[in-house]
Amino acid sequence: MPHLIDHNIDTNDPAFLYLNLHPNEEIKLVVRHHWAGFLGMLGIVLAMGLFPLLLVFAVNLAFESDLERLMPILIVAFSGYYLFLLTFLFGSWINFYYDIVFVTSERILNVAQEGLLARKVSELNLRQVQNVTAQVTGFLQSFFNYGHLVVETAGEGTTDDRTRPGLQGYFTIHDLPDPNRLARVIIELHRQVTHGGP
Amino acid sequence: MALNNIVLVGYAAFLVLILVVNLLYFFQVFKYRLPGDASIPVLVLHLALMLTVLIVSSILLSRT
Repeated sequence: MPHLIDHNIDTNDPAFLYLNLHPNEEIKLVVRHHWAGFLGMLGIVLAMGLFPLLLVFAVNLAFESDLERLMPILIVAFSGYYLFLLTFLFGSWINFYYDIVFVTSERILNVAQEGLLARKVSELNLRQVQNVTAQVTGFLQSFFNYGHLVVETAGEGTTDDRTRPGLQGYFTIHDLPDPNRLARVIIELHRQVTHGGP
Repeated sequence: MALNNIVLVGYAAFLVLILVVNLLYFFQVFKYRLPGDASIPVLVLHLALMLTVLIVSSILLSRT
């Protein structure tokens, strides 16, 4: 799934300027959350999208003779509702898609999009890594091979999701594709950083 | 029930608000997108859906 884990990265691209990479620091992996993590929100929005249709059905039953008269106001109301719903969905997608994890040759950078015009960048030096745990739980996560990555650190912990707090001293990232492979890559990079060689 | 001026002014104000929020989201997309990611296709799809809602509602309103 190349769109989820990207290896071929041009570090000199201006898009990476905000990461303030150190000289000679290479981006090894760019990882986005797995799309299955967005299914819940998509389901809610689809259910909300069906609501006006049910309302029209109910209005038609209750005020059959008045439906023609109510039509202009219903059209305006539904138009506004669907425009709001599409904007809400797009905002949710930006929150989901722009949460990105960069694994570089020196650090793990967790960029968390937190609503409109708010971003949080947490970084963890690979030297601080003490233990990496991949958690895959439940049918969906097992089927699509995604899950949580918990990096135990010497410093203070952080998480990418305010509703699912991480543990103190743990760097927790939710819904990542192939977390076992990511854990192996991080452990290997940690070994290279601490022992000074591949 | 014909649309009175208050409803139309309210709808126009709502459309301006939606436009401003979408412009902020577009700004965010163009500022933070990475090369080769899915941002632009999704942005185009979002625009197409928004325009579809606006055009269809305008056509339906003009017929009532």
